[in-house]
Amino acid sequence: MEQKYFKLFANCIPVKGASRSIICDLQRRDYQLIPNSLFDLLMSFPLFTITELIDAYGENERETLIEYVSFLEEHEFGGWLNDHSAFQPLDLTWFKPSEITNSIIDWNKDSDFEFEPIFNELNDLNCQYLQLRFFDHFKKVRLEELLTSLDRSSILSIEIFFHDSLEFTTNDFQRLLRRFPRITRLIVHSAKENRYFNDPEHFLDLIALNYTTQKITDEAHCGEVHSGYFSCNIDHFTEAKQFNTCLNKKISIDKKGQICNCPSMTQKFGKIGDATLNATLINEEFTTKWSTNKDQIETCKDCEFRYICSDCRAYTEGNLPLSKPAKCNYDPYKGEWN
Amino acid sequence: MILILTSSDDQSTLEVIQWLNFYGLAWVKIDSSTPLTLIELILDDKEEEFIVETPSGDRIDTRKITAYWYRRGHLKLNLKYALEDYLNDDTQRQFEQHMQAEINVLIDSLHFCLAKKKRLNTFQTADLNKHFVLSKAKDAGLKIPATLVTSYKSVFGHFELENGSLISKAIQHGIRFRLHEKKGWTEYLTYTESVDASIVPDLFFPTLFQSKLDKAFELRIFYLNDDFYTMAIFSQKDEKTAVDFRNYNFEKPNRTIPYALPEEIKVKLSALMKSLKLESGSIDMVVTKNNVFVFLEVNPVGQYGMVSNPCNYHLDQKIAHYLNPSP
Repeated sequence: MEQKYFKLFANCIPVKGASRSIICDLQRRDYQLIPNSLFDLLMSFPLFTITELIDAYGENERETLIEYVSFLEEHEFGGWLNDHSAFQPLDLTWFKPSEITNSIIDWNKDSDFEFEPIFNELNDLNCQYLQLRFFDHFKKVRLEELLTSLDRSSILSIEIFFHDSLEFTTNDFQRLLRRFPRITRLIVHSAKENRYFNDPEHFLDLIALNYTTQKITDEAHCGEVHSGYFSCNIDHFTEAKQFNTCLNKKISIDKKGQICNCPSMTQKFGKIGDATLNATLINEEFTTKWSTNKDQIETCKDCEFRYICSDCRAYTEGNLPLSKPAKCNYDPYKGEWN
Repeated sequence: MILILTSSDDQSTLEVIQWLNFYGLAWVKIDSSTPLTLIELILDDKEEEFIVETPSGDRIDTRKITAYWYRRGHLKLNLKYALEDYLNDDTQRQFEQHMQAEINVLIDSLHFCLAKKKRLNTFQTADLNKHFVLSKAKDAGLKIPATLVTSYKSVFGHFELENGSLISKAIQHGIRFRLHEKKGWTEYLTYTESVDASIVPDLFFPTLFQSKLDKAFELRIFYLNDDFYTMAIFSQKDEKTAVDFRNYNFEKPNRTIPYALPEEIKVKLSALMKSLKLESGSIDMVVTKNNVFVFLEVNPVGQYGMVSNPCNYHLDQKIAHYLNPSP
């Protein structure tokens, strides 16, 4: 019988930060904090036996080393394998069969654009995720018309920020969620109180109706970065390695009907109707922001959460293109949330 | 034009179609619930082709089909005939049975016609006899588990003495059944199970037994036209999944990671898939603690998303590539 070596599983990937590291468990969608000394050990010894470790680090370190290994075993981050060369690294490429994967459309009472032509363009680009943000009251009949027009579109998931209105009871909202299964989240803002409903009759009990007293009256609410928004999975991790996790393959329409990467960004690319989404995609100034990944962003590049985190390029520290998101209060150098 | 035959609820079909759209490739999808009207089926010196019409009036002419993907499901033809009403009930029934049998043969002919295209699998190879597949695997030089089918406890006992602990599994298909319980419908599936020899009766329904393998891990391999995409499944640690990983533990799922097959196993599996006339399929194997690779079965219409997603193999895109008439 061959000697067995410990090896990390390919979907458990250590990421080093300035003061500490994490192991991203991309399969079980979870992460664990580890000291940088364990990260360094794993880099120096991609395969090891406990005897080898003790030989390298010295008998004094025996207890720590055994503690490290049992931590890795307990979380099943790796295994003892005798045929280790067959266990290949994970393919970290990211690609999608879409020119555009996600889009935000903002609306307020002064907006003067039509939704349907934009929907048609998004469908041609095979866009899958759509966020609709209504900053003012919006008519019930009109909302249902809009959602009906998306019934046979490429859009698989619709997230709606809706201004609370007397026209809609909780029942009406829930009926809407059942009638339009593409809606994956409905946030009713400017509500009287914070309330949260799970609809037992909906075929997915995850789909929730969320009332918030927060007044979302313009795009400035966006851009927050915190641990609640982390997504530890292969799709996000691989995209984050190469691309910007907010702007990649995104196209937006702000409340004035202007085409932009995201409504909060000041650079605009013409008014919808005068310009098309398709033509905007040819503009390198538009697409170049897609590839600003976390490894290029100051502070983020030293953060252990960089490949599971969201990003914001609209609100940045000192308003610089490559500084960290202004609405992130994590300090990777101290390992503290401020 | 790429033709896809599939079941209406198959997620993988949708994912592949997205890639076909992305590459600008024309496709047409038929699912088992679409009744087709046969316009013509022609077989002469020059060609073997057919034309069918969908309920929405679209015509599918096989002359225009550049590639065919048999994903799953079957073709459905409209049955149109009128029986003379002077026939008595019994005669009518005999006629109806006969007509249905004729239509089934006709559907077979359409499947044969499609099998001549550049293709990814065919209806004819969708449900291969498992005994036949094990026999072919043995011919290809692969190790297979010792397998016995018997109704007699005495025969079972003898086999157990020779092979140690046994498992039992379906001769061909497991059963999936639904029971109405207080909370609504609950679905039950049968899995491969360990056999408790003490409860085996003297005489029983013919049952398939195999020697229980001492697993290091399981392999689920997606084979696509001589390429192998393999995932190792560490199922042996978890009591729930130790015998059959499909008995999923959703809270702490088994580790599933990319794995590179030894060249020697690839050569044998390629030979097997060619002898079974399969261009793609999901192969199950076990690697024992002594590092022996044991072949279990191949499912031509298996769910490959469960290999593609955890290993990031992009199999939908690879299938779309295969179907591209001018790659």
